[in-house]
This record gives sequence, structure tokens and C-alpha cells, in this order.
Amino acid sequence: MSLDENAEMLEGFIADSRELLDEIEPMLIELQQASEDSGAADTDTINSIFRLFHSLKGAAGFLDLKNITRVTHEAETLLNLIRDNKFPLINDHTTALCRACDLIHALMTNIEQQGSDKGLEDTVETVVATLAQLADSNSGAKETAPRAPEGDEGSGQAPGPDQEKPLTPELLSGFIQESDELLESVESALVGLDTSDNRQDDLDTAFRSIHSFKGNCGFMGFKDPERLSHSIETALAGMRTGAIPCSENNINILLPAIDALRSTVAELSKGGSDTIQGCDLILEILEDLTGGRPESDQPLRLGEILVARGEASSAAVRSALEVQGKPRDKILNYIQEPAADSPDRPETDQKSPGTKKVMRRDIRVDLDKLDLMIDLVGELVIAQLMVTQNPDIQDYELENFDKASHHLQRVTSELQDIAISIRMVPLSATFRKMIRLVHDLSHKSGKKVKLDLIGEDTEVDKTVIEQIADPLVHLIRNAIDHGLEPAAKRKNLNKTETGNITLEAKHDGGEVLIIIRDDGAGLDRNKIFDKALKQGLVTEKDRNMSNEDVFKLIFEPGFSTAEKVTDVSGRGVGMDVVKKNLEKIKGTVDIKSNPGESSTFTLKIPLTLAIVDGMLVRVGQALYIIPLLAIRESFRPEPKNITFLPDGREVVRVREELIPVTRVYHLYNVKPEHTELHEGILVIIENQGENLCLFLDEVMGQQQTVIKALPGYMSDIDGVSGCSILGDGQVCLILDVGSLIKKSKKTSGKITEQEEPPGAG
Amino acid sequence: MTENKGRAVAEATPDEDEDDEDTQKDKFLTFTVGNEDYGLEIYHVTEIIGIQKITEVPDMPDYIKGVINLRGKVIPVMDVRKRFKFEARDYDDRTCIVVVNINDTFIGLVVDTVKEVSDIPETQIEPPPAVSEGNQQLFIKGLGKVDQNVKILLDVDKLLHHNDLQKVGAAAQTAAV
Repeated sequence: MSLDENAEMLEGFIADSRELLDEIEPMLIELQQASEDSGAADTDTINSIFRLFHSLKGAAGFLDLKNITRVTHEAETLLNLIRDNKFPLINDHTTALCRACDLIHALMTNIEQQGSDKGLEDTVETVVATLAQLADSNSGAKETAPRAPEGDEGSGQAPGPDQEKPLTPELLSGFIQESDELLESVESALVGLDTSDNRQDDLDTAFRSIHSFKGNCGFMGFKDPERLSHSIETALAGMRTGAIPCSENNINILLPAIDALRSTVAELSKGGSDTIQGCDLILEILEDLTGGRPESDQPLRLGEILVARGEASSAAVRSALEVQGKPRDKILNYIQEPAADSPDRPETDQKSPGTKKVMRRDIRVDLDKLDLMIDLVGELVIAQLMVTQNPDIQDYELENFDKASHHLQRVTSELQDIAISIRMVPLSATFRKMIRLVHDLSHKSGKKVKLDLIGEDTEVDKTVIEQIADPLVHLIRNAIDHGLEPAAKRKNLNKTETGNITLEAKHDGGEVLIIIRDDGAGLDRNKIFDKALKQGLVTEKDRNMSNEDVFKLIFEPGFSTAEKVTDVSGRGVGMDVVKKNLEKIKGTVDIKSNPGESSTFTLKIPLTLAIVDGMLVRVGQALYIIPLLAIRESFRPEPKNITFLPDGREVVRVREELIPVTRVYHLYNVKPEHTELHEGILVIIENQGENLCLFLDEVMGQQQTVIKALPGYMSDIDGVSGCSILGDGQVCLILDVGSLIKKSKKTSGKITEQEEPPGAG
Repeated sequence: MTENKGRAVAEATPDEDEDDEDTQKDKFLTFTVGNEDYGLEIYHVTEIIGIQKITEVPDMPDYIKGVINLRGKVIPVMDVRKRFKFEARDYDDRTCIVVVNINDTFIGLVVDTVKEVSDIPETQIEPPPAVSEGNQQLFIKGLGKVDQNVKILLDVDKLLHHNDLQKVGAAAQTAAV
């Protein structure tokens, strides 16, 4: 195999396997919990986990990744024993299996870096030994809980279809989807074999695919397809080694077999049965193929063989030959025609000329294409504005045009909504990763912890998902390490011995709220303050600052009240990560705490990152947009409400509040229309409870626009979070309220020599 | 001397990547800034547009005038006169913005007038003088002789990525703290 193809396959393998592992981990832990709770191992889950490990093993085996193959094989063996109810799933098992997962993760990193899974041999040995030992030590044990004995499956493959457990729709649709792809792959490999440059590769691909398909059939308990694909597999194996020639004839024997499989899959997707009509016949044909009469120049005289064996009459052979004479796809129809004596065979669509189509409900999309499409939708919104708000037509009364442009606006708006929703992904995957985390941490810390997940179906933008995982990890770590008390202490406090952590997600207005709640000791305000004092972050006279402010101190880099550093937390790094990541997605965090009872961290993240509902404002000739959510109110101040402070700053009295003022023209060096505060407009902006007045010339109106990042060349400008293109094509800057407020606190508003302070009243 | 506005220049360049190197080599877009003629390798030039409203952006060096909207794309604009520390001049209807693309960074260069695309084979290019005053020296790739005239050939990369520019990012960072 060429180097590139190998690398590509490995890449694909890594991506797929990571997905598989992500599914395995939470399942393992759930399994164990269920096992502890009810004493019964959930067969569904075990089967799923078994299948996942098996797939992993299969893929690893083909890519000749010996270490991963060994580990997964041992895990498989263990799970098999558990499944056959030789013993219940206990903590040791879960831990060992989780460690196996970790090892596989690490081995995959090795693959990424060096292209093979070598290395970490010691760990491999340990894990393999542990798993083997667990398997051994228990396989001799007597049956513990009585359970419905499973039929003897011999090889320990998937449960047969006669078991009480029904096939879940998800399982089935996953099987259908995968089978489609696999069979497609086999078929195209076979079809292209004639003209292929690299036959060996194609054969390998076909072999791999049919093998996977066979495995899946085995699991799902579809006997006929399993047998048939086994035969096909054997045939392909022969072709690979050269024992069977890849003649067109032979290919033409294999292809109908694939078609039969395809039809069966289609049947199954409609809820039909897995029986293949004429399966035995096809199997015979294949057997002869593989049984190995070396190919002579003539086609295989199958009919002769059958007649010779006495298994078919000449008449049957003759009619079979007739059928064979038909084009490939018609043969299939023939095979699929319901026999007269099977009235319960579901109605087949006999009019279709080719193989049946399978209903697909989803499609895989190249992420780049998706991003491009979403960008274009954004552009469309802008372009639409440029047309409907074009200055050329502003002054005219154009009734028809107006109607048309409203329609355009509506359609564009809908398109925009859908485009944004395409990027939305449910939080469930991220949340489920936390299950494993809590499990591990609860062990490490010796505290019993229960994790509740609420609202994991809540969807957020893809970029949010990427940024939110780390903060969640840190917050949960802190909750367990610092928040929750040890079991003994909890008992003394009349709390449940098991600590509770709730992870909740919900939509609220234009934002997504992610709430992490624990019923531990709460935040100790004084402890935090003292530590901050020691680290020089505050001074003694700040001691009376509000609780919220004190709590916010924990986000300062390097801050930690832990007395000693464990490998879980204590270095003062975690909360800094939370803050930084949140800033990246324009989110905020709120902390509430009930001393001795609970702590609640609420992360607020804006729902869409790409569109801003803003107010267009003007300072001199420059236009800016202020996000609507940040605006409290706007007004023209009266001179008597304006006060000048000795340090040069100005404050305005708004009813009972005194709010500082920032002169925007000064900040951005723009020539303003007005320099007197009472001649312009003051807009009060708010961020995280803090207020600021912006002095502007004019408020122009509401504007919904697409946020564009400033060109990379000039990103990271203070006070500006991006730019936007207006209806008339002009670019305007979007003000970053948070950093404006921060900036105003740090620097005093200077009044330049040119200005004279108006008479303060 | 003909003037080029609009897509004429962009259309002159063929699409094939492989051909790009060969057919675009030795071709320079010439323009005037102040009293001198300058040249840029055509390879980097994507289009030339008339001067349009530039939105100012704070905290930038004075030669970065701001950003413009180029068919939906927001790109920064540099005033070449300012970059060379010449005196500023009012924009008139001959002022153009030459849009260049380097390593996927788009930037517009404001120049006084655009002249034409000249063929300047390597043999006609002299290396820049060893000693030179003023900032121009840093950006000069060479001096090209076309007929009786000399065009100062610029290194676009240097134009964009002079030390100043690295400081810009840093300045923005410190101001944010």
C-alpha cells in the first residue's frame, strides 16, 4: 500500500476509533452503576460495548496494529464472559476496561505521530495481563445471579434473533447505514477490478468491507446475510492470494451475491426479514468458486456440477441458465420474487429495474463545504441588505419593489436561521465525557460522587462545543476536589454520603446557560479574600467588596486556595482556562454560593456568534455598532446632571445612579460633531453588572448584521470586537462593550487642552 | 502611458497554476507614488479598484488607513505614501487601491496613479544600491530599467511585514491589559 494511502487509512481509523472510544466510556460507567443498583448487567449495553470493541479490534487488525489488537481482544474476552453471565460487572472490571481505553487513546497518539502503535509496551502488557487475569479468575466462578440462560452461541458471537431482546431502531439504522457503505465499497472495488491500476488494493478494500459487514450481520443476528458474506469473503480471500483468478466471470458471480445482500439490507430497513431467497443456491455457486476448480478458459459449468451431484434436475439447470442469461439486475428480481408458498413474505417492489433503494435520513458532509456555505449565507444577508437598503432608491416610493424586497428579506432571514442551526450540535457528547471524568475523580479523591445530566439535548454552535469542554472539566474537578466534602464529614453535616453534581444546559432568551451545581461546602468568601490579599490581588481596604466580586477573584491566573497541589487541581490554572475559553466564545460566568450547602457556576454563552442585533451610532463621520443586549438606555443629559471629578473623569447622574462617561471620539481619535455632553447623546451600556456611558453624536437606528472578523492583519484591537458591512456597503466597527468598560476603569478620561470643561452646574 | 483600472489586469493573468509562474514572471504592475515610478510583481496583484470610503480602525500605525469592503470581504488598506513617509496628499479620481494577496493575506495599497503592466526581464533589473537613506531601501527588491525610465521594484512582503507591524499586534495586546 502506498505511503499516502496508508496514512489516510490510519487517519480514518483514528477518527473512527476515537468516536468509538467516546461511546464506550460513558457506557461502561453506566453499566457499572446499573450493575451496582440492580445487580443485573444490562445486556443491551454490554452488547453495544462488545460490538464497539470488536469493531475496534477488526479495524486495528487490518491495519496491523498489534498492540491495539491485543488490548481490544482481551477486553472483548472479558466482556464476553460478563455477557454470558458468568459474573456481574464490578468496579475492577470497569476500571480495567477504562484503563484499556486510555491505553488505546495513547496508542493512537503514537500512531498519529509515528504511524504505528509501537511503544508503551509495558503498559500494554500490564493492561493485557490485568484483563486476562480478571477473565480467568472469574470464568471458573459459579453463576451468581440467576438469569435467563442464553442459547449456546459457541463462538460467543452476537445474540441470535431468537433472544427476547429486540433490535432497537438505532441499532438497526446504524447497521443499515454502515452496510450500505460497506456493500457499496465491495461492489465498486469488484467492478473496478478489471481496469484497476492496483488490484491488490481493491481486493483488500473489498475483503475488509465484506468482513466488517459479516461481523455486523453476526451481531445483529442476521443469519443468512452472515453466511452469504462469509462465502463472499472466502472467495475474495482466494482472489487476494491468487488462488482464485479475478476473471470477469468470477466477478460476475460475486456481484449478484452482493446485490442479494443489498436487497436484504433494504428489506431490513423497511422492517422486513433477513432471509435471502435462493440463498442456498448462491452459496453453492460461491462454494464451487472457492472450492477451487481452477479456472479454465471456459466459464464454470455450474449446471453440470449440480446435475452431476444430483442436486438439480437438468430442467432446473436449463431454466437457471435462462435466468443467468439475463442482465445482472434482472437476475436479482428473479431471486427476489416471492415464492408461491410464502404468503407472509412482504410485498416487494417488482417494478423496480434495479436493486431497491434504501431510505437514508442523513448524509455526511465535508465540513469545509459546510463552512463555505454558511459564509455564503452570511454574504447573502449582506448583499440583500445592500439591495433593499440601497441609497439610490431610498427616496422613492416603490410599492412593488418594496413588496418584493420584503419577500427577499423574509426568505433570506429563514435561510440564515437554518444555516445557523446546521452548525448547532447537541451538548450530549460533551456532557457524556464528564461521566467518565466524574467516575475517575471520585475514585482518586475517595469521595462518592453522583453526576446528573439535564438538558444534554440542548444545541449549541460547534465552536462553542470546542471551547466549552475544557472549562467544564476544570469546573467539575474543582467541584469534586474543593467543593464536595469527604463522606464522613458529609454524614456529620446530615448530608447524603454521596455528593451530587448537576450539569444542566438550557436556552434562555438569546443565550445558552450551562449550570454546574454541587451540594458541597460552597465558596468560602473570607478564605478567598485572604488568599487574594496574600497574593497582592486586593488590599485590606477592599475587604468589604461584594461577594460576587470576591468570587470573581478566583479567575485571576495563579489563584488557588488549595493548601496543597494534587494532580487533580490546586495549581491555580483551571479557572483561568475557564475565563479565557469563555472569552473566546463571548460568554460570561456567574457564581452563586451558599456556604455549607452548595455552589452554582452559571456559564452564559450567546446563542449565535455570527449575527449581532445592534444599534448603529455615529461619532463624527464614523459609524459604530453597539450590541443591543448591552444597551440599557440612551438619553441627552442635562448640564446639571454632569459632574467633573478632580482626576479628569466625568460622571452623569441617572436617576439615583452615577455613571462614568467615556468620550468615544477621544478614544478612537475621531472628529466629533459635538464636544459638549449635553449636545450629544449618552448611551448607557452594561456588562456584567457594570455600567458606562458612551458619548456619541447620534443614534441612527437598529441594525441586524453579520459579524465579520477584522482581517487577521489587524485583529485584537482594544474595544472592537469585529466589523460589519452595512446596507450601503460601508464597513463599520462593532464595539466590544466589556473591554470598553474595563478600559474606562483603568485610564482616567482625559480632557484635552482644546476642550474647556463646560460650566458645571 | 495607459492607465489600468478595473479588472483588466486581473484578466490578463491566466488561471492555470502551473502557467502562473511562467507567464507571470517578469511582469510588473507599475504605479506612481510621489515623483517616482514603482513596480510590483504581478503575481501578487489580484485587482485594482478606484479609491473608496475607508473605515478607520483605531490603534493602527498611521500608514494603515483602515479597512474597506471588497465585495463582502473586509480588507485592510495601507497608504503607500505614508509608508514611505512622504507627505500626505488628497485622494483624487486617479487614486487607486491595488489589492495584493500574500500568503492568503489580502491588503490594499493606496497609490497615486496606476500606470501599466511592464515586462521587465531579469537582465534589466539592477540590485538596489547598497547605501540608501530613507525607508524605501527596506522595501526595494531592485531597480528595473524600462526604456528610458527606471522603476523601483518593491518587495511586497517587506512592505507588509516590517518590524512596525509586529509591534502593532503587541501594542494592541498591551493596551488591552
